[in-house]
Amino acid sequence: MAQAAAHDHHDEHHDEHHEHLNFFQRWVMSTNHKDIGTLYLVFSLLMFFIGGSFAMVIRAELFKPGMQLVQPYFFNEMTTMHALVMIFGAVMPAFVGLGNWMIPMMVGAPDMALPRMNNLSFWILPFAFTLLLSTLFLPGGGPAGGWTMYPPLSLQSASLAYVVFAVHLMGISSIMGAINIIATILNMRAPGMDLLKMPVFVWSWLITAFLLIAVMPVLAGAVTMLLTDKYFSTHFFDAAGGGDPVLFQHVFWFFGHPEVYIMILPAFGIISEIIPTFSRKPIFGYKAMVFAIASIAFLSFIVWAHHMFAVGLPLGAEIFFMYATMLIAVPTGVKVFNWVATMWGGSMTFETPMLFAVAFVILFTIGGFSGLMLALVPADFQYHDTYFVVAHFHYVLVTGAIFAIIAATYYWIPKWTGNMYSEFWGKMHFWNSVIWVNVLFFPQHFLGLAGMPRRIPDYNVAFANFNMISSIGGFLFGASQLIFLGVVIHCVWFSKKKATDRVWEGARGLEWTLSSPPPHHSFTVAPVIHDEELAHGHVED
Amino acid sequence: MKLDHRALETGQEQRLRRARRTAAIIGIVAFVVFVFSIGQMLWLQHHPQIHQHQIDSLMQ
Repeated sequence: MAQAAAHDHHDEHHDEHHEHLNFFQRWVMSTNHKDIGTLYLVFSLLMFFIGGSFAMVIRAELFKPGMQLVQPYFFNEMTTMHALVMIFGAVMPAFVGLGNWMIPMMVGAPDMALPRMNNLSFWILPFAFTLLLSTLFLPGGGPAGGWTMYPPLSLQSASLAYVVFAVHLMGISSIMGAINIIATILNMRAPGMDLLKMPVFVWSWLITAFLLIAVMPVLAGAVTMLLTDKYFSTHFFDAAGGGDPVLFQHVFWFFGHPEVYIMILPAFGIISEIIPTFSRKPIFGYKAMVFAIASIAFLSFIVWAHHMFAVGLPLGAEIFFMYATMLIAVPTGVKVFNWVATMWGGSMTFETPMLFAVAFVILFTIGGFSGLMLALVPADFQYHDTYFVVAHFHYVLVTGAIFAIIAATYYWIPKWTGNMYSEFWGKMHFWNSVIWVNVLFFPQHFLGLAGMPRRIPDYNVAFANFNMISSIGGFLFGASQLIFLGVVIHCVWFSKKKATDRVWEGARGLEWTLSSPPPHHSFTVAPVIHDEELAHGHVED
Repeated sequence: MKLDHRALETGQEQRLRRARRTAAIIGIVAFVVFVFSIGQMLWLQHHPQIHQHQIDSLMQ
């Protein structure tokens, strides 16, 4: 904090000072938003491949009916760890990394408001995930009761204490990240950068940060109660002691459903930056887009029990949660139609970020529609705990959140590094990803409708064909991501093609007024805002 | 006469001071949510009739 103020007095020395830092000082002691953003993104990529390797084990085991490669307990460990690593290790840190890199540049600030806390919130994560992943090597094995940690099953796990402590650490990291983002956006904007002139990505992160503040402590509370139930003889969720396991589900999903939106709202923000750039038009309905994000965030707090229709809720509650869930389709529909309207009549080009953004709009909408099907109480009784649910949330999270993160990387990496990536290999990555991800997840709808349950290592031979197709799609989708790794490595270290400051012809916003790569501290003097330079400078009332 | 330090602050220092205050307020809110989420369950444990009533209403 004080450091940022001090930096401000010594603007001219920033980049010289930065040159003299050794590796340890630059990366471990860093208080710079760009370096910490890079750390987050590298960590996220590592977790993406670790979580992906767990998914490969799952798909390999399910390649054919019968037990193939692993023991059932290990299979359950894989499904549990895949989810925990992908949600808390890959998707969330990736968005925090993107936020760290872009928010100060987008609002005209020199850095994040609380740079030392920024450092701490990143460096907690490697310890949290070392702790979590180490449980796989413990004598009792890792967690195997699913990422939702429902008692009483989760209480039987020997590694519960490790998992709970890891979740606490991740939660603390997320909360500190959220505090920093809110403090930066509300206080560090350049004079003239009104709230309703901010890029949609910044808006989406502001709202997401409030969601994090509201629900991460609830998760921390829920897992703390699990811990005391196991080790300190409390009976919060133990029916024999007067507790109630279903109460855990209520508390967990009060966190869990907003968590889904924590993973998708920044993605909405990213897509709302990319589509206008490559359509060479301002976004259609800027205010409506902001209000839609806020509405989705509000609704996320009153839909949690749609994950629990099968536990036996009273009819009134089921009807309430069904309609509340279906209501989310309204603001989400506003967003999808506004993206299409932005493209409509635009002078469109299809560079790799735009390809991923267009795929996002189409494939995320498929995930949204299957979500509407699951919102129907009578239908959910049939679909609950089947592969239909697996197909639904992977369309939302893989072709939604992860496609948006990949799109953002292609969009901003020339700005970050000063080098252009290989467009040919970017497109190769796109077409391989978009084809194989559908081969991977689309057949899972049919499996679910036919009644194949999720989280099982073996299945009826009737499901054999679709599972084999899904596994082939899985292996090739996984392999396609190695292209992404290659493109990123090439762009950072080997690319000869330099990026211009604006990078993309249609790009608007303060971040594009900086050099590529940008200086160590973004705006050491608050920029003078020219409305025509902003993506949303002329907001109509 | 007491010197008004705030009057001497630059715009950037002002923004940072406000940012620290915002961060403190949000941090306190997060902690209160954490305590409340456990506190309400503890309260239910010590009021078993109300807890039972809640379970009945959820499971009827």
